[in-house]
Order: sequence, then C-alpha cells, then structure tokens
Amino acid sequence: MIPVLATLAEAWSEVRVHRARVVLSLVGVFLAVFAMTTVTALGLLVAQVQQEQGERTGGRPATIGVTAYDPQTGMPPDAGEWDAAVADLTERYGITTTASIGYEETRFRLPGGTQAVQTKRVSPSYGQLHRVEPIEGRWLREGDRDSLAPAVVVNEAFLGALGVPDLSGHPTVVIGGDSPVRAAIVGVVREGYGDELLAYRVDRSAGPWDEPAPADPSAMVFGPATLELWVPPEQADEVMAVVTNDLGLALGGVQVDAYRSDSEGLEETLGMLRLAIRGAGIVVLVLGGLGVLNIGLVTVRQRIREIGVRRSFGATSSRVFSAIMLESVCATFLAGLAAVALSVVLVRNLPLEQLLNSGVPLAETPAFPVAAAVEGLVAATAVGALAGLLPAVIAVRAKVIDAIRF
Amino acid sequence: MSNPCLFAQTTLLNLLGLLDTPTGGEYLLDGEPTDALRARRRARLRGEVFGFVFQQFNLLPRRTAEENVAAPLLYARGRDYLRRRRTARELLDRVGLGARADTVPERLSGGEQQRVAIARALVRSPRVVLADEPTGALDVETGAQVMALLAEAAAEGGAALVTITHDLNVAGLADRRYRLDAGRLTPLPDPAPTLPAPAAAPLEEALP
Repeated sequence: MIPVLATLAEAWSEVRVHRARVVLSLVGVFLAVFAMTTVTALGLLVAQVQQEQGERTGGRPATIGVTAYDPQTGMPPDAGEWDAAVADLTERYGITTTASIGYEETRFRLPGGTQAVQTKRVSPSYGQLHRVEPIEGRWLREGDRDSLAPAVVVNEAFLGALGVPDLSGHPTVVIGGDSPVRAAIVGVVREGYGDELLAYRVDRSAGPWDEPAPADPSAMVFGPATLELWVPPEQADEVMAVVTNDLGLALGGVQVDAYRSDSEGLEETLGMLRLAIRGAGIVVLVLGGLGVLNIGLVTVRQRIREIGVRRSFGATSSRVFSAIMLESVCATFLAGLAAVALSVVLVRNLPLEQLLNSGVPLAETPAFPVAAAVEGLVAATAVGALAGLLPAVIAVRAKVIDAIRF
Repeated sequence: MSNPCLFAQTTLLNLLGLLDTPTGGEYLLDGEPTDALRARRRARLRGEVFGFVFQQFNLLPRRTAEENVAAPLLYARGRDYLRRRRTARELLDRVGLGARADTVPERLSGGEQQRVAIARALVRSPRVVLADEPTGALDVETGAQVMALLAEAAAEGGAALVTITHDLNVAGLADRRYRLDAGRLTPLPDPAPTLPAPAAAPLEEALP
C-alpha cells in the first residue's frame, strides 16, 4: 500500500512542479478528448433524432404493415370480420402491440368554412409505435373511444386555421356530416408540410357519430386501412409469412399483403455514421498523444539527472518507471476529466431539440452517454500510458552514475 | 581519501554506494557479496544503508527544502514514509535551516543548499554517509562550516562518514585517511597527510 501511495505522491508532485510543461503537453489531449467525447455524445443524440424521425413515419423496428382487400371489388373486408381475425391472430402469436391506421377525410367546420381534412383514424397504440410526441396536450388514448365528444389531435396548421393560439382554452371544433358533433382538440403535433391540415382520431369509437357507414368506394382513394404489428426484428420475416397465410385463410378470398414499414437500413446508416465519428476522434486523440510523447521525450533527457539523484535515495527501476509513467497518466487523466466535464456541460446546454428536431421533443432524450464519458477518460488515460512509456523506458535505462556526474 | 585523479575516487564512492558495479573483483557489504544482488535489492540497500552528499548538491529543482529532504523517504516504508514531512523538518532544524524549509533551492545560497543536502543524506538514518567533494563548490570559509556540520551531523546520527576531498583542511578532520593512487588505496599516517604512502595494497583487498 505504502509504495503505491508513495508512487502516486511522487507522480503528483512531479505534475505540480512541472506544471507549465504538463499543461502545455496536455492541451492536445484535452482538445482531443473533448472533441471525441462531444462528437460521440452529439453523434448519439443525432442518431436518436434520426431514428425517432424515421420511426415517426415508418414505425419502430420491426413494424409489419398488413393490408387486405377483395381482389374482385377492391373493397376492404368487413370491419367486424377483420377485427375478429386480427384479434385471433395477435392472441395466437402473442403479438402485444398492434395499431390500425385508416385514412379518411373529415369535414371540420373551421372559421374559414367547412374544410375536408385528411384524417388518420388510428388506435391509441399508434402513438407508441410511431413515437408520436405531441408538442402540446396529449396523444389519443383508449378512453377516447368511449368519450362523448370525439378527441382530435391536430397539427399546428390546423390550430392556426381554427384561429386558436394554444390548447389553454380547451378548443373544440365541429365535425360536420350527417350527425354533426363537437370534438375536443386534445393534442397538437408538429407534422405536415406548409399549410397542410392534418388530424388524428381514434378508430372504432363507440359514439353515434361513428355508426358504421355502408362501405364507400370513394374512401378507397386513400388506400385500405392498415394494420401494424410491432414484432422483434429477427422475427419479422416469419411473422409476415404467417400473417399473410392466416389472415388470408380466416377471411377467405381476401388478398392480404404484409410488408415491413420501418426503415430497415437506418440502423446500418447510423452505425456507419458512428463509426466515422469514432474514427475521426481516434485520429485526433493520436495526434494529441503524440504531443504528450514529444514533450515527454524532450524533457526526460533533462530529468535524467534528477532521476539519478532519486536512484541514490534507493529508487528501484520499477519506481522510476512507474513514477514517470504515472505522471503522464495522472496528467492525461486530469485533462480527460476536464475535457469530459466541459463536454457534458456543452452538450447538456445546447438546445438540441431546436437544432436537430425542429423543436419536437424527443420521445427518449438520451442522457449524456455515459459510454462516451467513460470512453473519453479511458482514452485519455491510455494515451497517457502510451506516451509515458517511452520516456519511462529511457529513464530506467539511463546509467545512474552518468546522470549524477556533475 | 584524496587523489589527483578525480574519477577514480568518485568511482570508488559509487561502488561503495552501490551506484555502480565493479568490472572486476568483489565488494562485500556486511559480509555479503554485492555482485549477486538483484537490482531491486541493491536499490533498497542503497537507500537504507547509504546517504549521499554530492559536490554539486544535486537538490531537486523547484522543490522546497522540506520536499527535498523528505524525498528519500518516498522510498521508505510504513511510518517513515507517512511521517516524512515531520522528519524532514526535524532534520532541517538540526542543520539550522528550519526557517527556510519552504524555500526552493534556487533561492538558497551554496552553503545552505549543501546543508539541505546533508539533511537529506541523513534523513533515512543511514549507516554510512558518502560525501563526494562536499566542499568543492563552496568557498573556503563556508566549506569549513559545512564540513564541520556534516561531520557533527553524521556522528550525531551514528553514521560513518566517508569523504573524498582534495582539501587538506577537510582531510584533517578525518579519523582515518587514505590515498587512492593508481587503483590502490593506501592508509596515510595521521600527522602528515601529504606524505606519499610507502606500501600499496590492491583495491579489492583494501575494501571491507
């Protein structure tokens, strides 16, 4: 224990005494670790944003989209039969998260007149599957199916068309049609291009305004309703085959198509991005390490005398070696610590959601990646050890009597 | 010990202090042959048995006097290591530099630096203090003071003092005097240190 303490004390005193040299040599390591940690952390955040954006359109991995239609008429199968078949299927295969998505136009009475707005009729689980993060209010939930006023989630353009600044006044909007109803706007999402109005409503609600209407061929312009199944990626292919087969059999004579709707390649693209960032970080770190090594090599020559004097006190080779090594490691570790701290402060305080995600809150805001911080520290220490190695070897090999001679 | 050839004496001192190894012959320390010792053990013994005082002081630059005196205790064990600062202060008091404990060598005079070096040589209570021209870099008066201090401090610490010198005044302080000439160490008679020695013994035999 004492020798370890003593070696540490010696290394620390060396760092303290040679402050200027140490600081100089550490600038490179500090910058490298700072750059590497920051870039890694930012890279992870960017990747998270990319992933969430991809998931918002295509669903999380792996999302299987299923559509069904009668090949003769092009009409979707009867809703009741379809629901029963789907319930049977999900129960049999233990698929826990499913969402259905139907497309229709809803006639909303807006201040500027009645307007047909493209509306997605979705199950509440759609929000989970597509990582919908309302910028205000909430997303649809199961209870909305039974509420007396239909719940609507709209985009900002819709809110603008309604002439309402925000949800503080609990805005409502009338849905026109055969039996007009006043709907409550419960959430706002940031979606759609330009002035495009968008709305989400829960599907299969029990209200009288949602009496099943006779199948309307015009509804098919938007395509058939889609069922989405969230399954483990490795089972995706299997599930697609099973679903096509089973639903086809259960519904009889209906064409069932299953496909993957999440962006599969995203993982790999992001993997490449991370790899490139990592590579750049390592190059910078190596350059920083060379700086430490350089200054270490130059100064060890001047310190040989001092080392010789220490030898006369009874310093063993291993103590001389570890003192020089530790001095380098101590110093780079501290530089790494400072760099990581600065990086954490910087990354934490950047308005990342504004910069990267057009202000949409992230579903899972990644904390400062601990891995990046640890990696930065480990890298700094390793660079210190590597850069200390050569000077330490030189110091050990120096002949004591030459070192202390005058 | 005195000799016109400087290197020979320094080499002898380095051999005695286990800083160097003889190319021929044998050096017994406490009856144990030292050439068989492993480097680690040599280093330990060097630290435990010997204290060194150099001509050029060889203080560690930019460390205070106290840190300099405490430095050898970094290689000591247990209590000695833990109490190193206090021990260093005590030693500095003994050489009369207690008040300058926090001064770096760059701000000390030559005499003061050598006194710090003496404190440092004695801090591990060595059995032998090896001094290589301890007064060589000092003026005569300071040299005499430092030499007196060294002799006194070594005696007080119970250490044998082996000094190389060309200064006959310094040599005059010694109990026993030897002359090193052409690889042979010869005892000098007490009253006349300058007389050439009659008989010469091979170096190996002369060493303990």
